Amino acid sequence: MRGVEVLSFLVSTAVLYSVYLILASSMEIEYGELGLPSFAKAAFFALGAFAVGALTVRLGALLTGVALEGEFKLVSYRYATLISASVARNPALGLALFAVPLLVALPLAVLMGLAASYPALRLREDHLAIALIAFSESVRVVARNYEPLVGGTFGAGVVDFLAWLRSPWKELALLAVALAMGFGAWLVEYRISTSPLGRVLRAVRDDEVAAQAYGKDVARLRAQILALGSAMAAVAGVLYAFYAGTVNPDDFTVSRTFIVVLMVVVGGRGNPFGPPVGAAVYLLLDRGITLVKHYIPVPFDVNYLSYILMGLLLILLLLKRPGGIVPERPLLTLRRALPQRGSAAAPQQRGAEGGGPAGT
Amino acid sequence: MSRSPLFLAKNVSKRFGGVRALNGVTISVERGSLTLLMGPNGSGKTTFIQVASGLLAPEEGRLFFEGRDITPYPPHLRFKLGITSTFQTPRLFPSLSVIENVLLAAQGDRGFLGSLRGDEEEVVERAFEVLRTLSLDGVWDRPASALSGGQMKLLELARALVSEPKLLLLDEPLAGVNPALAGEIMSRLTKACRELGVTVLMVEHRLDIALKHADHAYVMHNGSVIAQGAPEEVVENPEVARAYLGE
Amino acid sequence: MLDVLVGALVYSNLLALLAIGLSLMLLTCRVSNFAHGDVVTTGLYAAYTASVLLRVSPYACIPFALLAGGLVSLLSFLLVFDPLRRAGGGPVTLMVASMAVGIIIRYSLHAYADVMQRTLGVYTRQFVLSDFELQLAGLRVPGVLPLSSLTAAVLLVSLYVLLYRTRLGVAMRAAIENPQLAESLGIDVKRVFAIGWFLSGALAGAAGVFLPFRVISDPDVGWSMLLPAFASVVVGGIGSLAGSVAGAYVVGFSELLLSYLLATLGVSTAYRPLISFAAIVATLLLRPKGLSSLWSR
Repeated sequence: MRGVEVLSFLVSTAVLYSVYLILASSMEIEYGELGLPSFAKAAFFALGAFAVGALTVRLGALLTGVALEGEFKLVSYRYATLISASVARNPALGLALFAVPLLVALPLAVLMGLAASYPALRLREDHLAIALIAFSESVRVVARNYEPLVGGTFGAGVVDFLAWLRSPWKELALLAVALAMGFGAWLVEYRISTSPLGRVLRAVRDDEVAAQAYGKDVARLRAQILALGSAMAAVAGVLYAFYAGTVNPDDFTVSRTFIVVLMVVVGGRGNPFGPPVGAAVYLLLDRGITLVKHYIPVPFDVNYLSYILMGLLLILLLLKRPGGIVPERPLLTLRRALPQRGSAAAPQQRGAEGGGPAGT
Repeated sequence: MSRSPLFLAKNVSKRFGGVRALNGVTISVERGSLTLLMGPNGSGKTTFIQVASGLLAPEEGRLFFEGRDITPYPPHLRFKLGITSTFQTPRLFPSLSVIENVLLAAQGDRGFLGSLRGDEEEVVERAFEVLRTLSLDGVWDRPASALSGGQMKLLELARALVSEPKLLLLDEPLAGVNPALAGEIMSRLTKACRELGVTVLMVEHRLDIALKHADHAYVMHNGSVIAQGAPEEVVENPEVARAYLGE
Repeated sequence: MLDVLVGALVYSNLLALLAIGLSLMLLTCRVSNFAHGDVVTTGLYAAYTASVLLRVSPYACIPFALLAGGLVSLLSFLLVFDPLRRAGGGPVTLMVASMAVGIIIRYSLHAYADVMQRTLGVYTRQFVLSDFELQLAGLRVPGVLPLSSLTAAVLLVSLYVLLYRTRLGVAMRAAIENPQLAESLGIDVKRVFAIGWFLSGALAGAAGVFLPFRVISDPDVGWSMLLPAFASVVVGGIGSLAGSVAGAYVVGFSELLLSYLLATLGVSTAYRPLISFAAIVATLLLRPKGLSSLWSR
């Protein structure tokens, strides 16, 4: 009994870590590397989750020949359980129910990301951030009031796509899927950050005009990166919805975006290792406090403490170590090209960060 | 009809609010030449460079490059055609290292997926060569923000040179450079340009250094071209003297 | 319909108190302060606590709200925004910091609400306060209408007088215009900005006093006013103090009247926040200078 609990705690922590790793990686590419405050992250995250919430029950019913009766918001959980029972006998159905929302959400997220790049070209960065936050909240307000989508404030039930597996294999399978997605997303981010493309992104972030003068199509770049980042966030949303087993619009508030931004800033903007570090720090604090909450004698709900601590940590870092836990390094994109050079023109790498100003 | 120039600006006008910064300016740059653009402060030289590089759009007039009308082209497309411009005060990418600043200008546009590949030994080689030419190879791995003012100026030039442009637009490459070094830099720069076959249009105040390298000179005053011709003749022109003395 | 108008006016009064502070903070520190909504909530709980302890109406406790809001805002300036501004933090970095400040305030208030409920034995979540009614021109109106209007008018006029009729105001506007120059003229820019932040927070705190008379209140309630307040700033024209006040009334009345009209067409009033969200996006994209473009170029 104890072992099962430990397993499910570990699995849920690892899945959440993967979800946040995907979100933070996408935010790192957009905000950390390109300098684009894509603060509608929660909306793109929600898009993936909504695809799951809106589709698995309906599609599952269609594929198993069950007629949906009653208002969606009232019956979705019941049908989710019913269809999960079918999935238990039919793994292919489970895989289909996993794949279809993903295939629906991805192109939608790409399109929405491209749409978001329109204001990104026209607005000052802080105005863009506010506009995107307003957009993100609009998505949430619509979703929580338009009940046929994902049941409004009732939320929507999600079919268990792994119902054909028994415990503990089910948990382990979910773990494997989550880790594959999480580290896949991080590898994309790492690859971009350390490639010539990452160099272009940081150049645009540093000086947009100069980047244009050196042949970089900033408009196209922003559209591409926002499309990619949005698609990544949607993947995280799909994963999160299947993990949670339910989709609730109020799960996708500005605070969610903020937590992701926080991971990137705490981890280190511009450093490809920032997202895994930042996500780990957040989960350590959040889960750590959940674990020890019974031992902390405070006259209020201890969960508030983790938010307060996160806020304090972020501010302390911004003030004392603005580069984050693993700050950006100036030499990022040469790892593959330099070793073959020999030492003729490439002197030993001296502390690139430490090298002080060379005087006037 | 003579052979068409590499770059031609025809009747270009640009206004800032009520101020006419450029007033029907026509400038042509012959292939392989070094053309000097002179004039007192505020005469419109920098504005012209920015119009030529695409950072500013003219209200009137057209720009031609290799016979093609490039007036509507944004800066990044002009760069791809072979026009590179530098900034008067260097606009480096401060958080990138020196070598990466240069690489950014050297790497071609390989598209989104193409530029994920890191196989750029050849480009890196070229970048180090340019750094060596400008004596910057000793600081190749420093962040650009840690350079001295003069080094920043040199890095700006290195970036421009490494892109191997057909036309290089230089806006006061010597401003802020240690006077003892300025002559040396100008010699190296012009030598590199001649070797690479780069045509240059240069704004520069340091006439003592710049004039002897120039093939042709234009003089601007209050947004208009008031004289042009061989450098030695232009500086003898009484109207030019009056413009500089401030009439 | 009268209810809608009353609601719109009260709501706009509160938005105006928030928006002018948001503008002032944008002007002084270039920060879009996402903690400002939580300063409202701070004022709310300060006045509520005082009214429970002193057994008087919350309306009588506005001074506590002013003080609490002002102090929280001042502290955030001194401890976070001023150092970050000096360290050269960009507007988005400052915005992220303000979100962190907001979270700290909000969850501290959550914790405080638990403690307050336990020690004072009053509801501190999902509560409304009962208002008094009075006869005004033959109509029965809730007390919050004249009182919030009066408070907004007094505070906004005082701020105007301070900014445009006193030496401190001259110094503040000079410091906003050109901090370096102001510094060299002997103005203590930090002190002047600090006063600006205290006043911004005080106004927001005062707005908090009126909230529980109109909406179900909890420690998140101020946060939910933040985006409409930003909409007021944007619609009014970013950087214009007068514009923010005008924007507040435009946004406040549009939100309530439009959602009322839509409700008669069968659209749920729950979609109401969309109006101010759409106003933000549309104004920024189509008319970035907002209302202020009407009277200045």
